[in-house]
Amino acid sequence: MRPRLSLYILTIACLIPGGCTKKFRLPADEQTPPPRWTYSRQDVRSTARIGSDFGGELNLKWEDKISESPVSPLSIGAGRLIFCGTKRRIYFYDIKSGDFKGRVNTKGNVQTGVVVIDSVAYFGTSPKTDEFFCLNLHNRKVLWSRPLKDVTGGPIIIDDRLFVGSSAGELYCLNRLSGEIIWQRSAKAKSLAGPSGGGGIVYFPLDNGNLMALKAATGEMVFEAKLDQPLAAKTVLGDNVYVTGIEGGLFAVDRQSGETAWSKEFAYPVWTSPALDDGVLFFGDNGGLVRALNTDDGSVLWEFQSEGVVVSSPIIVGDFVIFGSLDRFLYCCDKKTGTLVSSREFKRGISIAPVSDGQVICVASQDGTIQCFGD
Amino acid sequence: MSSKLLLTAALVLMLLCPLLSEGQVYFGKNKVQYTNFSWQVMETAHFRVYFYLEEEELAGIAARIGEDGYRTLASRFKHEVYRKIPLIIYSSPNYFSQTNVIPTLLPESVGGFTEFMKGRVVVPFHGSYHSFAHVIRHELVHVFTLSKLESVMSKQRLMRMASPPLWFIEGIAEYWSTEWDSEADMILKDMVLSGRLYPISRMYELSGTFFMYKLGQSVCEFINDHYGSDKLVLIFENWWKAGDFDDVIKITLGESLKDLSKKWEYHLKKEYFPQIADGGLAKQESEQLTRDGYSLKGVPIVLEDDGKSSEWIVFKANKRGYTGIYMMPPSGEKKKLRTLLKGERSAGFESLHLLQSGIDANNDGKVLFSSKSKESDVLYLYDVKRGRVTNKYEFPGLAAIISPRFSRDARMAVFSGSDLSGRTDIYIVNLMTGDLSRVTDDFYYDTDPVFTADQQSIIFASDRCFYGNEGAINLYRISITGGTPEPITSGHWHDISPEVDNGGVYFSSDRDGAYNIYRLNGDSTIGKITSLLTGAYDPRLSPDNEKLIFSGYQDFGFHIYRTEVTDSVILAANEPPPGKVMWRPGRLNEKFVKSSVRYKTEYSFDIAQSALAFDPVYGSLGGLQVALSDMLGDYAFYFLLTNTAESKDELLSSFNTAVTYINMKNRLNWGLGLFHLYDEYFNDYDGYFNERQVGGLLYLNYPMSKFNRLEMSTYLRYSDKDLWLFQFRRRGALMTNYISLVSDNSLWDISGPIEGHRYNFTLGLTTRLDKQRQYNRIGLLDVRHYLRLGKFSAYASRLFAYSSTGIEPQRLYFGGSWSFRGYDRRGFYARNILFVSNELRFPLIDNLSIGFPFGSIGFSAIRGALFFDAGYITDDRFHLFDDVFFDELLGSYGAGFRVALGRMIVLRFDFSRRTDFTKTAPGTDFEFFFGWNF
Repeated sequence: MRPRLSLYILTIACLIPGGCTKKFRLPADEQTPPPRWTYSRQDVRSTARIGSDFGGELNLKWEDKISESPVSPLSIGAGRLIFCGTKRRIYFYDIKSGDFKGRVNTKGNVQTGVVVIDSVAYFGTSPKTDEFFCLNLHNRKVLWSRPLKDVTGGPIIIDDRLFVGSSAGELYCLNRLSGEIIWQRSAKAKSLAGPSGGGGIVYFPLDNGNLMALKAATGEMVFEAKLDQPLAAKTVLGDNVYVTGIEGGLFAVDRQSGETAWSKEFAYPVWTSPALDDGVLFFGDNGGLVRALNTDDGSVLWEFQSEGVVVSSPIIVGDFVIFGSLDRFLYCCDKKTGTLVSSREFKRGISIAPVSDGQVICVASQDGTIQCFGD
Repeated sequence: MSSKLLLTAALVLMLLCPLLSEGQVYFGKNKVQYTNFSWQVMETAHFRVYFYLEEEELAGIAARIGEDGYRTLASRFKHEVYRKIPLIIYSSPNYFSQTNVIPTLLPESVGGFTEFMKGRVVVPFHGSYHSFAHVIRHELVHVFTLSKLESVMSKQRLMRMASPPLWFIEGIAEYWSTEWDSEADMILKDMVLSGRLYPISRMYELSGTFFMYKLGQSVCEFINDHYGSDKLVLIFENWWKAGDFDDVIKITLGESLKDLSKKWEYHLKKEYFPQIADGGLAKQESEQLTRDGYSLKGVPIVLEDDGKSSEWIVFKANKRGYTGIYMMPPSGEKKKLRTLLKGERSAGFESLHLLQSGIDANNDGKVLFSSKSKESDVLYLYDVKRGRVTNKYEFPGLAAIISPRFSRDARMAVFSGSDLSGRTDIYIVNLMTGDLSRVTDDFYYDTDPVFTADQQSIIFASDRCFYGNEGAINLYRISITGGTPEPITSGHWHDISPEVDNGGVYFSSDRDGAYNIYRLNGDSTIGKITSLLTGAYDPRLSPDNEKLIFSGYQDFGFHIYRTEVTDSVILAANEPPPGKVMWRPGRLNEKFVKSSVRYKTEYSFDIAQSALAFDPVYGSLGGLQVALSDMLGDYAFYFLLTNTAESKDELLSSFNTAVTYINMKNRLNWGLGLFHLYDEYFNDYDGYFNERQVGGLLYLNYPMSKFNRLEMSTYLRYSDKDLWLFQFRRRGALMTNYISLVSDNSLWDISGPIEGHRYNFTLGLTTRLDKQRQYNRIGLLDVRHYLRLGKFSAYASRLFAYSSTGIEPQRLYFGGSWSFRGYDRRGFYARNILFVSNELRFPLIDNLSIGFPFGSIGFSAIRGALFFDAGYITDDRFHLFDDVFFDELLGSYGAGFRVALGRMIVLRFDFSRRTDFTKTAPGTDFEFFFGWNF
């Protein structure tokens, strides 16, 4: 009995310092091709659209469950599905097989999501730690870190420049290689959603209702459009800048002048970012509706009613628009007609936008269930 | 047999206590189940609606309101509640007051509540669907608040028991459930204009009051309007990011709570100060007739008595905690105040509905008013000349009677009544015969009726108007024989309290933002009589038609004012009525009702806790305690499990187990229990001893009214008592019966009762069944009287007599801060006690706040006391008023103070000196204890 007990104790003692957990490390010889879904909304323009021959059936490919709630946007990098949990961990899964590849522990909650480019991960942590990190995934070494207060969702990188907003009212442009601040601008309002960029301009939606457009190179103001309601979701860039407001507004703003091309008001608050595909915007609202709008004039093309609040921004995978709802369902609708093609039920609601590499669609529900679907 | 039986009873009753009304074990008022409702359950997408058969229509409406409210709030909170929300509805506040969902008595001011343990929402219907929807939405905000915070914290795997401050919880519930209305405006405007606006840091002083609700609502609106409509929900979403509310506000708004408060206060001043240019305040513009407390609903009369006529104003008031009916001369109560009727201290006048219901009086000295009497309201006729109620009218089909008015000839009365389904309509009663006739009969809220001068029609206020579904109330006229009501005012506002005079109708209206008095003239024009900023209600003309008596709001309270009837500002002719009624309360479509079935008892956990305590007298207490009750709180099981073994061998024989079942469905509450108790105990008579008791109990409680009840309990048990110090062991089958008569109509201040009385008269008999002999007898009399001397001062007296005789008399511990001050706690252990206590209670300090560099400590009240106690306590037989009595008579006197920490904890500090009535013992005893005054 005693030798067996000792063996148990020894095993446990070894596991504790060794870590019962698997630490993520990118194999040294692994080449990381440019990901198809780099940022929280796919590309720097935040279109949330990816070309695919996905047929619309949400067939389960793999699933796992973690012991914490996922927070911040999902992303795909280095062939892995990447997301952060409330226990200050970043999880890495093989997106094809669903194999758990390990995790990285952080000092604070990662509320920005993770951007992975060239085997390097960029992320910021929440209040109390308030730091932004650049991590080499091959050797898990911090390449640089910088105190940045209350940085928020979805940083983007344009020409080795990393743009990130903060709830503390500061907008940053950092050198992604060194972490040096290239420029910093005080917005006097919170940036809850992070920037989008294109044409040499980055656009920051702010909670005071202003949409701030800054030159990516210098931080010089291009315009500041007053939209009169808090803007909490990322903008999407098409012919115009499209942004939703939490009093139910949807605005099309000229990318250069900042003038409002058209605007629409809907009954329920909108906390989701629009997805953009071929002249059509898709967004969900707190009344459970997902709508398709013509970008030319804002006319409604179709509506789909879910049974719960929609705070999970829709994505477009091939011919389908996919979104989660707090009614516990993941929906897949025909993007042309809004017809429901398939749906999957979860145990809890879905509040984070799904991501896709064009082959599979990954989604996380509030209870920590991760599922990947494909044809 | 010692005091073990009382201790056993205490232990088992401890299991009963949580389901009985507050303080019911010894004193306390009663929650009486007058009606045995036949409950049903309707299941919808997000709710389980509990209703009784009479309110089936109301249930469908409540379900619709709930589902609509749910969708709106889910959107605002960005959150879904993943469980069915229990929504329990009552068709009348009088039925609502009987709910067993929570054990405490519900004050009339409670418009609904959310119970946190099972997330139950309990709401009464007051007659108005608009108000009903408001209350349901308000309570739903609480449900979402709790669920959202729980979700945010559980996502972060954090535990934090602290919740946002009450002003915020209630404020956001108001803000997200109703619009900012003229009453809310009245409260805030009064505070700002009187310079008594509470900053956020001091809102806790108004905890639980209507003022706090409206202040909180105003702050939430300010946050939404000035910091952004995303901020309120972000306060919840950022809840995990900081340790206290101030920091969450700082993270969310970027400013401290103090800065938020300053900006909000400044904003209100900018809004309200300019209004003073166009209006006035009641005290400055009129003559204030009443001073203390709340006074309203004044009725001027000319009383003919012995050939002399004198003018009076009859009115309702709550001057010191109880509502009553008073009369005063036209010059005001300072000159003379006569109390006609003291309400809320007897079964006949349980509640006079101070704010909700008006009264009427006529020149014959008759006063007409309604009062809750047991389950329903009754109509009373009071004769001022005879000084008593002369007629009482009861209507079995009516739950509520509001605002009765005489006809000119006083042969009839008209009032607004609510039937069992909750519909509120106009009724006429023949005061000669008591015959009742219904004038309106529909789902609209009809109130404030008054006869026209010719007695052929009735003017009343109703929400049957065009904007009624949005809460508007306009005036209508209907024939006393019924028919179709014709609108006489119209608009999106509240026209209430009509008073008919020759050729016109005075009424109160908030059409200009604040309630003021208007007159509808014969040519349909409307004249504005008063221009007060904080509200004027209940207009009545003086007998000479030259003065207007009204209720006005100012300085946090209502008072009766008098003003000259002057030429009024004529407004444009009354808008033409929009025509037919255009709204109906919506019911939930049948297709969204998942099921509707008869309620079946569903038990779920109330509490499951482990706690251990050992008391040398009571033995082991606590252990594992589990309580289960059903959704309506009518049935409950209590379980107790502890083990008092001191060695492994004793393990199996030392379990203390008890199970008790309580049934409170009917007026007769009853309980059954089984117990096995084994422990080592100690008392000063027997020393240490072991006792095993196995048996059962039966408990009966029959409330005669809210104030009086009869209690009976029977304990049948086998007792094995081993007094090992005396080498004596007693085994026997014992049966004990108690019967108690309990009365309590006390009114409480923060440190204890200050008015009313409390009685407990108990007799007990223990019989040893196996030897067919009486074992002991007890008699207990505890009489406490509280004579009110001032707002916070009273003279309290107590007589406590106890005697127990027999083979094993039950002795009581006595002495200490709660009983005989100046003597040690449990300093006496005796079977005969005669004790009197006298105490003068008075206020010392209200709201003391002591500042420290690290913060401040606040005390809500400090009260002082001067006391004198005398007691004759003996284990011998009573020697009343002979030499032995005077030789053994002990006394103490002293002073103390009570410090209230919040509303639940009172610290007691007593300085006392002992006396044997020949000399005073040297030295002063100091005692510190917790608890309310006797």
